[in-house]
Amino acid sequence: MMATQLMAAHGLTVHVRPWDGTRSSLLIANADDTYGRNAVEQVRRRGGNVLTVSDQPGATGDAVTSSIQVAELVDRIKAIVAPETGAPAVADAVAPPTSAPTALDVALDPAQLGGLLQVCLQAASTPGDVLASIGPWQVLIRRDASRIAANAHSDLLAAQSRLVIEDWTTQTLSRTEAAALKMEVTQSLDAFLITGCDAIADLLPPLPGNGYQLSNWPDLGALPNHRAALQLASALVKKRWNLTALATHCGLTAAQTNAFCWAMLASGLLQSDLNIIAPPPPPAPVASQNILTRLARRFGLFRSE
Amino acid sequence: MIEGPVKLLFAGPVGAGKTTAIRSLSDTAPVSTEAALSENATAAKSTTTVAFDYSTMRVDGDLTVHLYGIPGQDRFDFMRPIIANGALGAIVLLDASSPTLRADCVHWLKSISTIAPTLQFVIGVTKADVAPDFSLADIRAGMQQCGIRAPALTIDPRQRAQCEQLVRALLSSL
Repeated sequence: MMATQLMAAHGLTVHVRPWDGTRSSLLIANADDTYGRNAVEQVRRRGGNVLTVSDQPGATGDAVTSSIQVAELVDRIKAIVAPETGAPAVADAVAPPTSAPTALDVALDPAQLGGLLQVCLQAASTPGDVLASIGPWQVLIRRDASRIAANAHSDLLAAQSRLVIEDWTTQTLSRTEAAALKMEVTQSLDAFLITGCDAIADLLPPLPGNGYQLSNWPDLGALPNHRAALQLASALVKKRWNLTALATHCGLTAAQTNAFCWAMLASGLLQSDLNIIAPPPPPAPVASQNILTRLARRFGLFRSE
Repeated sequence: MIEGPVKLLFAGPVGAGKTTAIRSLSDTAPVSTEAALSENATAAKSTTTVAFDYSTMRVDGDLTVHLYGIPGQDRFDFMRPIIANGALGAIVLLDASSPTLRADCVHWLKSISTIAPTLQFVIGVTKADVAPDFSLADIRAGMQQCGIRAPALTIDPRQRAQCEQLVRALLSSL
């Protein structure tokens, strides 16, 4: 108890309560009894932080003894729950991009933007999946698969509200390592980023007004009420746009358009004019304009052409 | 060019959710030709479509969209050209938990585009929430293999709003 109170010296407020199976920043458990070991196993399976106490001679190397000095215990707790000033407890930094910077890279100054959005952007140069952690929350970003996973819906919501908040730590995982985490909830990364960027549209720096295009349709299945996303995706799949013209075409604000493009950039679908591949020719019309207009109206779609 | 009744196709392997999606979108009681599964029946799926599903969805006034579900079994493939004739587009539903997801995608895109080369597609991927290894990259690679670029959305076919999103995506791609 004294050690947790001393955490205030590191600017950390700690609330201590008996373990009840719910999520917490850290579980401190006695590894010498069955209840403690069960609690440790459950929390580790969820990817949570654990500090074990054991007086057994064969205890694992990271366990502490019950006679540990308070100051040492404070350091151990701090290293686990706030590792940014010391060696990361569970994470390694994602390697920076190794390819030559493009104009877009220059625009994406990490000093302007941090948080999970930057983690997603950097994941482009990372082979494998990225486990991102902040406080008690962890999300697994599978950018190539356009999926994001977590242990609970609340973790995804917590992550979504921290898209530009710093202090995420990251760890690159192979597919096998990622699968072993057995994350309980998985959803579309595209939808996650679109919703998250929309909520912070006013905080996102404007992308340069170059030409942009989508290489593929984003997964908008979980966003049936987000008509603006469908409009923007449809326009950006068909041809290259500068963002001002795109906002005007779709009847949206510059901030909405910019936020959608940030989401698509982070999901890996947005191409700048430096790397656009010529799109396939548009399909020939299969139904009369009258029918298409009536169908579009029935499904709440704007149709200008 | 379609001037009269609008026809939408639902295609895909057995168990992908075609019948469920049609039921979600329908304004009228669907006509289904379901029979008990002779093998691999589960609590979640005990029947399968043996001819086709049919229902309608009112647009406005006299315009109605006719929804046709093509049976997933290949032994009914003789019916596909008949049903596909004059369709506005095809919604291909795929099961994300299938170990042959990419092959399923390629098979159905090729199968439908062979009989209706100008048909527009949208792909609906079901059960993605219970398939932790699912990757949309498999679907995108399958489409690329077929020379098709179409919307691919993960959906729950029991949710009308998400099924309508498939139709919206199809219309947006036209």
